[in-house]
Amino acid sequence: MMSWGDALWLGLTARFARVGRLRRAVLMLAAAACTAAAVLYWKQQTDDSANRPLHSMYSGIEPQWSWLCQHDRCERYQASDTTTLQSLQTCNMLCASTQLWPQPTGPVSLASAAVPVRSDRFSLKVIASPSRDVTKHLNEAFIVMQNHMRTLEHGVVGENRRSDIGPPRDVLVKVSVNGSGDPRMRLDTNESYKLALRPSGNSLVVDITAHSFCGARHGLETLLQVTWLDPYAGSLLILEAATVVDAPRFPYRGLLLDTARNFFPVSELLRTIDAMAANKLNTFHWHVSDSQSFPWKLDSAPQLAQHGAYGPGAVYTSDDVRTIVKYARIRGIRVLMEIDTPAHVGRAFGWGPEAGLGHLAHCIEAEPWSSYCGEPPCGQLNPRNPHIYDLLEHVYREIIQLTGVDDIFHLGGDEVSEQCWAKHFNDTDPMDLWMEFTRQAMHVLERANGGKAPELTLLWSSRLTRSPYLERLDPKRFGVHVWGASQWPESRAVLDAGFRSVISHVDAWYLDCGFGSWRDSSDGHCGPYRSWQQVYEHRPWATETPESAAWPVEGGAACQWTEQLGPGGLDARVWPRTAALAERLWADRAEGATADVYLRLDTQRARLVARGVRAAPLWPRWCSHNPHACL
Amino acid sequence: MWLQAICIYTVFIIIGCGIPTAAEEHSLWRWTCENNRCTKIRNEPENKEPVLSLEACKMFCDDYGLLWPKPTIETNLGNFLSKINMNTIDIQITKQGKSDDLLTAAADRFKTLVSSSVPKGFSAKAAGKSVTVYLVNDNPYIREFSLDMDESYELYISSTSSDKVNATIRGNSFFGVRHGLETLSQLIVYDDIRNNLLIVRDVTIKDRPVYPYRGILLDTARNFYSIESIKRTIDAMAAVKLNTFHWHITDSQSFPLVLQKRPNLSKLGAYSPTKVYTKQDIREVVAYGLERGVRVLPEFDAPAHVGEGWQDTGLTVCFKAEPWTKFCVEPPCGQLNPTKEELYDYLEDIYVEMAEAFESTDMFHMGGDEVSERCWNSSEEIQNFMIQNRWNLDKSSFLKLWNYFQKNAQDRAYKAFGKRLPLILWTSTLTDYTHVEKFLDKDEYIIQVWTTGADPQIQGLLQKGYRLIMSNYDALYFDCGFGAWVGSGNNWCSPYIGWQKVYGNSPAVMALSYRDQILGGEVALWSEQSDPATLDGRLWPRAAAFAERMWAEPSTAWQDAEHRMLHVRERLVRMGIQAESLEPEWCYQNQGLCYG
Repeated sequence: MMSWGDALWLGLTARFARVGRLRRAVLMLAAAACTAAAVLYWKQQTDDSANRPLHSMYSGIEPQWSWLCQHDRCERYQASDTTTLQSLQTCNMLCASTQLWPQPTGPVSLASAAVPVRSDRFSLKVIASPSRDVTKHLNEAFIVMQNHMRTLEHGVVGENRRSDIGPPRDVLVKVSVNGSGDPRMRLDTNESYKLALRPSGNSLVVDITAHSFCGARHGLETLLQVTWLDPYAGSLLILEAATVVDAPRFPYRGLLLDTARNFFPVSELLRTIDAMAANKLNTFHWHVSDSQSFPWKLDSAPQLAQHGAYGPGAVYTSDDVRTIVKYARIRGIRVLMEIDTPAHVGRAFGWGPEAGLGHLAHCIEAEPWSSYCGEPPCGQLNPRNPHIYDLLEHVYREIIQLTGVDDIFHLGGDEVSEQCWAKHFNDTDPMDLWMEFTRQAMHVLERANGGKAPELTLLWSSRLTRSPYLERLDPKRFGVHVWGASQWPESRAVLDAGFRSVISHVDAWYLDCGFGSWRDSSDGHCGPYRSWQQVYEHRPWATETPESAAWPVEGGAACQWTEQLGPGGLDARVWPRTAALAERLWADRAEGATADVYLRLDTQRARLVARGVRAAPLWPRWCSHNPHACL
Repeated sequence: MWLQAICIYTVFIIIGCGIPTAAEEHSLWRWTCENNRCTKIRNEPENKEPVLSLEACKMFCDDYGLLWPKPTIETNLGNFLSKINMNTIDIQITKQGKSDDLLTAAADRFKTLVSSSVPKGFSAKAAGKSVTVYLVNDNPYIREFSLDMDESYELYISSTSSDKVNATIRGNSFFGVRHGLETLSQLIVYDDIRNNLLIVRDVTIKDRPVYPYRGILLDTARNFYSIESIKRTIDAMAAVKLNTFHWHITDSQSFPLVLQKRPNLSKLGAYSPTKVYTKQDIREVVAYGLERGVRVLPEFDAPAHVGEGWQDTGLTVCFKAEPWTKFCVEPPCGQLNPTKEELYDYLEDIYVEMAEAFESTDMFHMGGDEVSERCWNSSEEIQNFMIQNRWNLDKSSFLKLWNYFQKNAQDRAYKAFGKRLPLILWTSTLTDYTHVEKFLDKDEYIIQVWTTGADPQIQGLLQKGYRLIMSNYDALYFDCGFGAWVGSGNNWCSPYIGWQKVYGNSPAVMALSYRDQILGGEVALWSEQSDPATLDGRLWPRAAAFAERMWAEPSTAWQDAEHRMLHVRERLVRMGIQAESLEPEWCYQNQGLCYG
């Protein structure tokens, strides 16, 4: 039997324990390579008598349960029936499976012993940094990590710290970044990192090495995951030793949030971004406007929000955008702002005639809507009005300036209605108008981006990205954000044709599905609900076809459209399902939602809750208390 | 329709001296009532007519204004809105009695509601008419819940002079007068163009509910809920005139109820020492409910759905039995052992303390959900008991055993509550209409139906004279539609139930000629996949749709209620309830354009 009491006192050296079952072989090799492994092997102590639980030393409410690690499982006991007192959190961290999320992709070894620490005893030393900017970001990211630790410590009520766990250790975090001097998350950013945590005298030393700020930040996130609050000890604990070698499988790992169908205050966006960082996601796809509303007040075109926002309380200023971008950047996340055109626009573009610019858009709120768009209200830009391209250039320039993202751009291009344009331009095939619009939008985008096209310009999958129109798009310039169902032939065709793609298949990664229709009493257009297991198990690139091996998949994104969601429900709708996606895109384990995944996700959900995210529970708390009993 | 048309053209707002304010001049949009819809239009600078805000427009663009649930007897809202000063609302209680403290509390709540009608980030000018509200309670001595309590009320508003508005609410009990205050609060709207509070000036409303039992079930055993989140739920219930909070407090997974006589049940059964409900906690909730006209109904589910907490008693069988699929519907399994004499002493102690804690309840829910024959059959002791009684081990014998349990438990419940109060049981094999009368007396038991609304059991039970509470899962289980938490795919009762279906779920249609035996209905939030983080969004605003069905049993469908429904959702949000959004805000601002 192993308790944390044993671990704290007797774990002089770390027994390097194994992690996920699959990696056993890999780790055996790693262990063999490490000649010290044999020396470090530490025989488990079983002498319980020396470590009687000191219930009386615990000054809070007397713990009710104790979890003991038996056969690689945490079993729950009445505290009064056991001789050791161990919290669920600590048992989970020390017993069998690694509790990291997303699961690292390289070799991992984690000690099965823990030592007490305190947030203010962590210090950062930047050993190597390619630029002052990276150093500055490292310092800020370190403070973010420390603040999260401090939040955990707030969970300790009063002076409940157990006196027998020893003094908190100092932790020196040494970070070396050898590589890019640009702290931004970019398409070519190397996000890999190595983390080595080891005891050194009475303190701990952590070495994080990476090739970018973003990689080093991921290392800090992992360090945060091996630190937890033990409510019985009344202290933060950290694994005494750990090595992690890690890198993501896909470079683009995103979450889309639609702030147009319903408005979300800045605080909600920030909390969402922080939760993304906890899962090593790297792209906040901000679908900022749509036909229902245009909440962003641009400096260069304030008319859009004036005419398009729901009201004065539902507006994002440029300062708001800057706040969000800065917050995200310290967390290794790019903010990809999408102003969807030429469809999905509305009253925000209705002021052209009065400003002497002619009609900037057609079909605004046209009826019957089902003739001119996919959902009310309708609206589509006027591709023949040259002023629209000037306006878009302003919009694009401001997006690039504010977000600092100039290597990826999202043009939108979702659900263009041919009928709408056909009604106004009976001399031209609407598909030709659409193609021409896209070309011109690309042209002004280049101008807005200093004369250079972004490396990857995304379009939503649509009729334009289907044959015979797909052939008219240049795969070197355009990428496709595939939202169609995974089984639709056109969803595969873009990949077969070599277009770099971001995947958001509606049948797996649309988080808005399954809440009935908002326009009638049917079950809605894309039900049923996608469970976290479905999100997790979706691996469209792992099909049997020979072509799929060569698919240029950049990654994927979960989509939270918000026709039926307001601020209050955001967290529970998005989390923990998006965490499931995060591991799919980071680690892409061949396995589905196995028992190990349930338990680790449950732990990750608890981490999110501790961070202030109101994530939905996976199951009754009883199942968390009795790991494996509900599996 | 011509009458309606006249009303449309005579909508006026009395805005004091009538000079447009600076804010009004800058208002980009205004709303106008056309064809029973409020249309959003540009407020052109040359427009000289008084400008209507969205809510002011909606108040007169529909027979029922912004009222939810809609009144059932008479609704006349007149054509005028008067500007009022929130700080001058005076509430007079005209008849004295032992429910005065409740009326005073209801009056305080009313004032809070009025102030919350001002959206965040706005403020109302302290100018306008003063308001005096006269509360006339014809039976000021009644403060007890009962199935035949009188919840009717009448509400009149008139303006007696240029600086004064009078409102009178008359009811036959505190409960009715309290409902009247809720209605009155819905007749006060915020004008975001001029930053004023407005009240509807000439009002006659006569109202009473169709069904006496209008409830929400919350399961606090699968996951724990704070007292604060329970109170928040009761607050929202009161706003839509629901009257019963059914507290499913224990289950196999946890036993958070603290009992003085049997402390081990929660000591061993709670998720943690802080995740418990003490007698004091419950009394606080009960008092909170009473002030809001909401009875807090306790359920002690037995003989199945027990487990955690009972470990040391030796009174359960098949607790945590594996494979669980053989002995229960979800882990962990557990069932009381009805053959143990000591069990009934335990139950009596539980019931006694429940009666003490839930002091205002007039009914008791005894559970009786999902009893597994196989679980009982797995115990040698139970098998022996049955053989001694010369029963077989077949299905009907296990019903006899169950009945033996229920009879004993019933006696103890009557003893504990000190009266033969109405008892409620879930539908089960015991309540099957083909034999129910052999076990349960229709005058003693109310059956809560959880199977589908098309289940022949409903007619069968009604024909035999049983009174029913409808919780048919196909419309009223609000936990449906999420991923399965055991096994794969989505949960058992998927898909998710949209508010439209909730609204359309009519007990009258199911009951046909036996409508009088339907006491009402209840939405259920089972909490396997819910906790305080998801509570508000799961319940609201869907439970409001249910509330109108229960209160008014309207002959119309959801389409006619949609814009009022969107408003009640906004109202709940302003009260601090994190209600889910049903549609883009655009649909709220552009009435009638989000059709299917």
